[in-house]
Amino acid sequence: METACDEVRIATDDGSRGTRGTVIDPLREVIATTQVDRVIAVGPMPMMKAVAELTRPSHVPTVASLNPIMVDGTGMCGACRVHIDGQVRFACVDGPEFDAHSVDFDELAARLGMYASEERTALEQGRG
Amino acid sequence: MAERRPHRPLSDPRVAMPMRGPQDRVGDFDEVSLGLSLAAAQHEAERCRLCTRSPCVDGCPVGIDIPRFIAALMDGDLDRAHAVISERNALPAVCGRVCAMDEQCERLCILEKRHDSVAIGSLERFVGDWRRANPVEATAPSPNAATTAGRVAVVGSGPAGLTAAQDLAKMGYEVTVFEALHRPGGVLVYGIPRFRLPLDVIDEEIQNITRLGVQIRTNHVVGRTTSLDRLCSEFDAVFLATGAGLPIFLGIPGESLVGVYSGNEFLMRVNLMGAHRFPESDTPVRTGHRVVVVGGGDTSLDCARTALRLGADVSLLYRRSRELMPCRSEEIDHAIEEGVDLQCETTPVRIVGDGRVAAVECTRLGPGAPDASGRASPVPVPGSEFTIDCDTVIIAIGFGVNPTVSRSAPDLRVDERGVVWTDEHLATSKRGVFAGGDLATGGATVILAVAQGRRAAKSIDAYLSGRHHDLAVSAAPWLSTPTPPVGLI
Repeated sequence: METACDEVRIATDDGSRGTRGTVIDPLREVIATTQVDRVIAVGPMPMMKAVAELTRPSHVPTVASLNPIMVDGTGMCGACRVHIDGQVRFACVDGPEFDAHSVDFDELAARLGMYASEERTALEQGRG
Repeated sequence: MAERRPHRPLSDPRVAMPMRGPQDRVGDFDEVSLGLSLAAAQHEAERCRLCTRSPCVDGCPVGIDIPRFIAALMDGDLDRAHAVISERNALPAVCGRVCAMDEQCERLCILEKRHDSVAIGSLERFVGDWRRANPVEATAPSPNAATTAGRVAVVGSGPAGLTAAQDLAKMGYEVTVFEALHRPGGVLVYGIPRFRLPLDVIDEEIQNITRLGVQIRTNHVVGRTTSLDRLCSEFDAVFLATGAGLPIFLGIPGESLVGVYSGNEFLMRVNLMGAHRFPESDTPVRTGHRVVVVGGGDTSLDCARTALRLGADVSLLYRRSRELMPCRSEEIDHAIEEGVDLQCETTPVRIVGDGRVAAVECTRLGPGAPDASGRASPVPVPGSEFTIDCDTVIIAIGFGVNPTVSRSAPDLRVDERGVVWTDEHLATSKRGVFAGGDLATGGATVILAVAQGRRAAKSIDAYLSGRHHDLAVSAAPWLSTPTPPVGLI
């Protein structure tokens, strides 16, 4: 990232690198002190939701790269359907990048958790 | 020869396909129908009058010379019987299992009016299975054809793509098939359950095609992994046969609740990814105790019978009457024998639950004014609302066209539904690119896709050999029949 960016800020949960905590703190600071034209969030769903909530009041254009469950990833299963501004879209063919302020993150979170117990079973078998 | 062939009396009953009992078969995913023995197949073949008018051939979308293959079967010449079918259909063991014969060849059989028709489908399956048990080595393309050959890319390895690949390889073209998934077969693999179409049947018919020198490259999503323009620069012609895999939903409240599947997702998890074996397989599937399936086509019945095999109680809701269900009638009988609760003239209005599906609210439907297809448009019957408690809902009401290829190629003309525009030769608006199968029809059957694959191969051959004015492809009457709008089952 450093080769592609003017400035890289790192946040880690335990503070072993960069600031301690989530990316929200450094992002809040950047937005407060700099003219930001666009925010791009790629990562775990709770992080993307938090980024969207942070930038919503200031209307900073924000893109989230969604990661719903997909079976084929080519438009055939519909498992990755998500409401964007009240419309059903398939993340695989219509996305995966969407306007983060239009994403129904609560629905996405519920759908991502559908196979939590099966994921634990697979993890216990060492195939997670 | 023909006068010495034995004939059964007209009154002789049609040989029944041996079936596993319903209680036995719902316990696993093994095939339901068991196939005829040679003796039974020949016995049935002898019911055929080998009539010269042969209306059955008119009923076949690919025009298999049915009396000629049946005559070969009577003579015990199974090599010839297979060769006759293969002139027209690369997938006899597949189509002998999944075709709606009762609406096609068998419906027009001269015996049908007063007796039962000849079991043409069972005989086709028998011949296809005989070839699987007795495979032949590759037959090299004729040297003459090889001198005029070019390179052709086929996108999609379903019935249309495989058929075009076979025909083009036989004509001497170098054919590469690009498949998005990790194994070839397309809808035959991901869409049709193993209890109707076992994997080895598909694989062995595909091997008959790869023996001709056809290369199949899996895990290649044209439109993503590679572009159509790139294929156009690397190949002399391209045939698009990516199918109509985009699932349609009802647009009712609650369809995004956890526990609502599209028919395609549910079937893919089981058919393609082996979810019924989880955790032995990597992909899980959930049914819970009670499943409600919505739809009336083959996919909805496949979902219902798959859910039964996963141990659930299953209700199938269809908005019109049973007679209007757009599927093989045999599959409805099978589903009911196995214990599917069929609720016709019924539709869901809302799926309810707190995050996860808890119930489906339904209403009964009565006939209303005729719709665009001329059928009575179902309208809700006031006061007939009721609720079905359930854990899973599967929506299998039809398909749209997958936009992946066309979105990556703006010069490919599509209609408002995303159906790729083609002329009567299956040529698209992009030079050297042809399209067929569900991608260009908007959704139909395996045999119609086979028919389109054959037409495309003829057109591509004509295009590449410079015979633009010699594109006379005999089209079955089906091919000019307008298809009903996608999603309106």
